[in-house]
Parts: sequence; C-alpha cells; structure tokens
Amino acid sequence: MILLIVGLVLVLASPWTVPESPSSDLGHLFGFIIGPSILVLFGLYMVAYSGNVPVGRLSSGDKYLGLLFFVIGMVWFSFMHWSDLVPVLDSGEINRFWLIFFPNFLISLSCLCLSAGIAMLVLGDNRSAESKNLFFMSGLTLIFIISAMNIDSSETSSNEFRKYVWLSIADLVGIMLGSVLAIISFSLVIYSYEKSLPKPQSILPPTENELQHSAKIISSNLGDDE
Amino acid sequence: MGETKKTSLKLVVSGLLFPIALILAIDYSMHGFPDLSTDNINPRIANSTLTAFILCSTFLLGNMYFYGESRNRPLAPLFSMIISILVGFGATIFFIKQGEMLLEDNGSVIAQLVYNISHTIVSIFAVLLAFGVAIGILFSTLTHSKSKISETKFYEEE
Repeated sequence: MILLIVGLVLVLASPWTVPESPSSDLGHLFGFIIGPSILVLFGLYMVAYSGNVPVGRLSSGDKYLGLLFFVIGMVWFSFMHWSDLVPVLDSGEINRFWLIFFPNFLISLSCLCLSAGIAMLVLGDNRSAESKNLFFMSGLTLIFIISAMNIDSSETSSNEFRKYVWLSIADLVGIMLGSVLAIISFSLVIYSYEKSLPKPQSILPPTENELQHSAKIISSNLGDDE
Repeated sequence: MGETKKTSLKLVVSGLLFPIALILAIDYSMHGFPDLSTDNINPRIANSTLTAFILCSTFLLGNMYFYGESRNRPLAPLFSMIISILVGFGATIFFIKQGEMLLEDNGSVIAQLVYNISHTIVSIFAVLLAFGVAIGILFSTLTHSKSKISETKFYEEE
C-alpha cells in the first residue's frame, strides 16, 4: 500500500521531475483528474452508506453532502471538456492522454450504467424504480457524447472529438479482445489439468446410526427449550 | 429456467454494446465516417489487443502460481507461460502480417512499447472509474430503496 502511494506520488510529480519525457504526460493527466475522481467516488460512498446498511451507517445529512460531491465532481469533469479547465501541456497542446481518457470514460459509463440497469430489471425482483437512476445516467452520458461530437468546445473541435470517440471504441474493442485471448489461453491450461485429475472416490451412504446422530445435533441447534 | 437465465444474460450483454452501436450509428448517419483511415484504427486495435493481452496474462500468471500450489501442480505456471507466449507470438505475427501497423506515430519499438503501456493504463483507469461510478449509483439506489420486507407482513408473522 505504501509502495502504491509512493508510486502514485512519483507519477504525479513526473511533469516536474522529468518534464522532457513524453510519458510524464500521464502524470500530468492524473494530476488533473484526481480531484473530480475522488469527489465522485467519495460522494457515491457517502450516499450509499447513508442508506439502509447494517454496519457503518452514516447520518442522513451525509446523503445530501455526498450527492453534492458527486454532482460537483461530474460538473468538474464536464467543465474540463467544455471550458478552459482542459489539461493543457506547457507546449500549449491538449494532453493527448486526456483525449484518450475522457471518451473512454464516457462510453464505458454509458455502457455499464445501461447494462447494470437492465441487470436490475431482469435479474432483480421488482426493481424497475431503482433501475431508472442507472438508465438516466446512461442516457445523460450518451447525450453528452453526442453533444460533444456535434458542438465545438473552447479547446477541442467537435470533429476532433468525433475522431477520438471512434479511436476509443477501437481501444475498448482491443482491450476486450486481448483480455478474452489471455483468459482463453489460461483457461485451456486449467481445463487440461482439471480434466486429467482422477475422479474423486465415492463414499458409502450414511448408516442409520450416523443419521440419528446428525439429526440429534441439528435439532439441538435449531430447536428451542420447548 | 436455464433458457430464461440465458435470455437475461444476453440482454445484459446487449446493454453493454448498445450505446456503442447507437453512438456509431448516429454519428455515421449525421457526418459519415470520420477523418480516419483503417491505417489509424487498425494499429489502435492491434496495439491495445496486444498490450491488454500482456497485462492480463501477467495478472493471470500470478494466479496460476496459487492454482499450481493448491492443486499440487508445480508446473502449471510454466505451461501457462509457454501457452501465453505462443498465443502472444501468434497474435503479433497475425497483426504484423496485416501491414506495417504496430508503430503508430512513434519512432522506435521501445517508444511505441512505453506509449502502449501508458495508453492502456489510461484506458483501463477510465473503464475502472466508470465501473466505480456505475456500481456506486447501483448501491446508492439499492440502499435508499424501500425495504422489500413489508412491516405489516412481519407483524402478521409474529
């Protein structure tokens, strides 16, 4: 954990420690998005834990504070696209990793929210009211993407954003393909090993005495004094 | 029962793909294909496939050590390593055969390698953040929904 924090701090400091390296753009991007990311996630944590949870319940006032954090985080992200808050490097160019991160984030958010909403409807029991929030979020993100693909922002033209959305979809397709390929290759090894394992030996059915003994233990644990 | 579960799963998976199809369909019908050639898109798919394969294989290889230990198969990680190297090698040859597509705007293989890793880290971070937000909204909604156990029914049972 300590190594992770130290590593993260070093990556965040890379625009100052190794400014000439193109990879320091990654640290530059993380520096820009860490604020809204923490706000969004912490806000959702506060909202979730101010509801009906058995342990670690927060006060009902935290629900509104969490909601405020969440909204501020999301508005911050959208301002990073539409206004001058966009991550710009010292050279005056927009950080190229931002143009990879933001379309990827929006597309993934829309897909995951829609999928989770459908999962609640088809797998849950009478959850139509709850799934509406997820459908709303998915729809809102879709509208944002379509708007950004048609309306120029202060730093990015809609045409450029369109290009990056298409490239992000190519990225996501590639990530899915690569992950599936890796999972299939490792599954093959596990499958061949499991197939070669001898079948477990069957044991004899329990005797009458053993059954009576088990019934006694179960009734002593389940039954009351009466 | 099994058939219903399969249909539900198909619906959930189609929910994952539907926004992508919708965005592409709307954009294509409004503006046509963007200013991109297959020379731009194919290297992106090829590089992200190979980088995701390498990162995912490394993670799974770590798990194979635990698998090998628990199943008393000490050679399991070694076999997995050989299989993943062969698959990775095959995939790389397949992508290279499609043309000079693995180098994007980078001058050398090492520069491309470093760029691929940074690129994939950013993409994976974006997906993980989106996953966190979607799960957060789901749990927030569930914890604030009305309890499914009706109180009157509870008292009736008492």
